[in-house]
Amino acid sequence: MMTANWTEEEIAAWVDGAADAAEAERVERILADDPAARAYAETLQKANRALKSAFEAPMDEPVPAAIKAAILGEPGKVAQFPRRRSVSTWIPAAIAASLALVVGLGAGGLLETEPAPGMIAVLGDAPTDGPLHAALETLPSGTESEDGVLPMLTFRDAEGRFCREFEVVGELPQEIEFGIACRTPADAWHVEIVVAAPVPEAGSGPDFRPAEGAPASDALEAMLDALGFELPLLPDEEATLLEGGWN
Amino acid sequence: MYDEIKAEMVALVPRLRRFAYALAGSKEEGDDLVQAACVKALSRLDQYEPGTRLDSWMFRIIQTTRLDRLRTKARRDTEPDSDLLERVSDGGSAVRMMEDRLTLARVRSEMAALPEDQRAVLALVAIEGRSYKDAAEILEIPVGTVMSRLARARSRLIAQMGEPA
Repeated sequence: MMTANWTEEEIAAWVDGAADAAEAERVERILADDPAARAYAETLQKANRALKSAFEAPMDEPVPAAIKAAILGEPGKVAQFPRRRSVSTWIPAAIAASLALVVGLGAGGLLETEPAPGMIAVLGDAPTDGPLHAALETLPSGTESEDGVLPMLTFRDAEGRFCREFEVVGELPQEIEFGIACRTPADAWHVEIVVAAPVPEAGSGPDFRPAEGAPASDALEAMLDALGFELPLLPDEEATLLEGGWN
Repeated sequence: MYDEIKAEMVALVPRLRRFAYALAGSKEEGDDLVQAACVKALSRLDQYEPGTRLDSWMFRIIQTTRLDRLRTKARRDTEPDSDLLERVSDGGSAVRMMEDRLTLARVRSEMAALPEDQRAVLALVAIEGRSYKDAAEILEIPVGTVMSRLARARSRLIAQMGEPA
């Protein structure tokens, strides 16, 4: 390349629309005179276009149901949900609503700044040698494992997968995590969602109500809807699955 | 206000998914990120400053969620398919559509092969069309760092894309 009076950064800033008026004017003069500069600018434009096209697919697709559900929630459907009985014993509406709730999804979501090595419930496939997998794989609903994992109920989702809602107690201070995991064809439990809700303070009184409308509940309910939850399996149906290794 | 922000968030989803797709390298992983980021955002709406751009805030949450995951989890990302890269020749005589398709697959592979920090900058500037200043604010880095990361990402990307002469 001959002794150029321009830098790639300058050209890039112009291509990216990041040059101010004076810089833009200068670059445009250079482009008019210098074929190498022009070629570089075209290369950048082409690369930008290629990048945009390469990841364009979501722009033409409808919003996935699971994401829409996670955002919008559907508090109206809360009442029929069996978990409510359990949640309602834990979370007074006032506390749940006022503390707003730490809602976490995935490893990052659970703790906002600190990494969380070894968290039991994180989004994605639960490690098959971990406590979550063990509990979901073997424990009947309503039975808590030594690690504080309590499967709540089992259901079949719209795709025919077996899914279980669970709680994890004691992993985060002052919080209970609620999650839903579905069993994959590869015999793993894929955690679809994890939300954390505050444990009520002692002596909050017996008048507990479901935390309708709270983000954690909404998110969980919405996920259930997205999965096509209708009714939980009956205890004997669940027992058969546990005995048969979910086949 | 809560409902309005939710509605705005839903409207942003396609762009959030595009950004997360570019960051994570797969649509599935990207969608997981978007979903996690949306729930996270709704749980801390008090930190959102009304009047500022919701998309910038969401991009930031997506990116930090992504970084958290990379830190806390064994990286499950698909490594770029080097076989594919080798199979894809410049193919000057190939049918144009085929060529485009392969080019895009290659661009995705190359994007996935970039260091995380460079990929984030490139996604914001080249794909989302954000200014250097916006990108700097979203990623909480100086504008000069945006520019140097961009330059490094591009020199690699362009070399790999093997511009036909």
